[in-house]
Amino acid sequence: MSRCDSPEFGKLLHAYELGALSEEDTERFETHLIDCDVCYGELLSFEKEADILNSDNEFKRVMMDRARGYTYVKTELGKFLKSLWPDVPFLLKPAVVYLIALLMIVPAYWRLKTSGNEQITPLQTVSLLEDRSVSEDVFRISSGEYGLLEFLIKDAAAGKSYSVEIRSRNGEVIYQEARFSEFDIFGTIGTGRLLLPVSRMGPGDYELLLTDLQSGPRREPQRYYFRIEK
Amino acid sequence: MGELDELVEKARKGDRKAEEAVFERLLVRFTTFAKHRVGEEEARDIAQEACMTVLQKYRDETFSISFKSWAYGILKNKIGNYLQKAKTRSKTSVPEIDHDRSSELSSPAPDHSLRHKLFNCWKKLALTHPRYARVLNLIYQGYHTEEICQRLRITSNNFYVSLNRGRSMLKGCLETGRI
Repeated sequence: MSRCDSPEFGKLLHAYELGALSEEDTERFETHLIDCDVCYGELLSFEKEADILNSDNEFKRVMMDRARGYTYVKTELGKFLKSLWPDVPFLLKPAVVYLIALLMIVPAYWRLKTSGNEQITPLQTVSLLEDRSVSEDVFRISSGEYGLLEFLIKDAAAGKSYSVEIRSRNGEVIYQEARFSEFDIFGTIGTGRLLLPVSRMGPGDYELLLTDLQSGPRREPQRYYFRIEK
Repeated sequence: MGELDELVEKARKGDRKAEEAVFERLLVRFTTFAKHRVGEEEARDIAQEACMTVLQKYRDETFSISFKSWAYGILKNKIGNYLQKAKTRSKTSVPEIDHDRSSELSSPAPDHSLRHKLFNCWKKLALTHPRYARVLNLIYQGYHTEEICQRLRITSNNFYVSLNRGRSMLKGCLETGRI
């Protein structure tokens, strides 16, 4: 559809068809129609329909009855939506304020709600004495992913270092540390600690070998035994 | 100079074809304009009278405004005279059949299928573009443009744009069945 050269008149078309123009605007528009073929052609193309919209009283009555329902809902909804987005600076618009509040409150509330459910699970600890039978020194995988292994070291002294090895029952080396010095000393007894990933190590019997690096080539390691169960 | 003004200039110089073209154009338009105010039959008579007056006077007239404005003024007077007479007749004579009703009787029977299609398209439009439906409803209730703009808190430009947009969509829906 080609456009009218005078858009200030072209926009009046449908209002004219519906008789919604003032007398003055009607006269201006009709004067424009005398020599505007675009607007006049457009008027003719919708003549029958415009006639029904404008003059058919039965049609108008039905439309008005119908529109009352739509208008009520849309007006109320429209009012509400408009109240959320008034003509104020962006950050002051209620919709924006509510959204920011929602984004802050919901996660905080969720954290608050779930924090009481968290339980601090104590790390399972097994304390080993040298050469003691393994029956009491058991880690349970069901009790946690990690376990703390404590072992008493004979003749410990500050500055000493040991090599540590953990082997499975079939001799496979699971863990090795060439210079282990993570131990506390009380007199000549040291307490070494190792954090073990028991769930990854899997169930079975294990042996820890602690060798004093300064004890010479024929050094005998101190041996400890523990078990991991499901 | 527009096409109409050129035709008028030619007609003034004696070009009969140009004169006929001017007369035809004015007659068709004037009939449309008059139908907005009076019944169809009366509109044709008024339009013809106005065109005859234009034809009689245009050669000797110096238009202070444009030809079209001058010609339109003649039509406006004719319509005004007709309505004045109709008003006087209704005061002095036995009450006649209401003009609205008479034009209903004389105008062609409504096209029910077009009316039905139009109503269905309007329903679809009312859901997707409720502003048009609201504006139309307010027009039907007799509100003026300024009152409608105040109620809906829109500018007059928004008002006209809403109407034209609704019109395009209605037209499209009548052609394709879809909004």
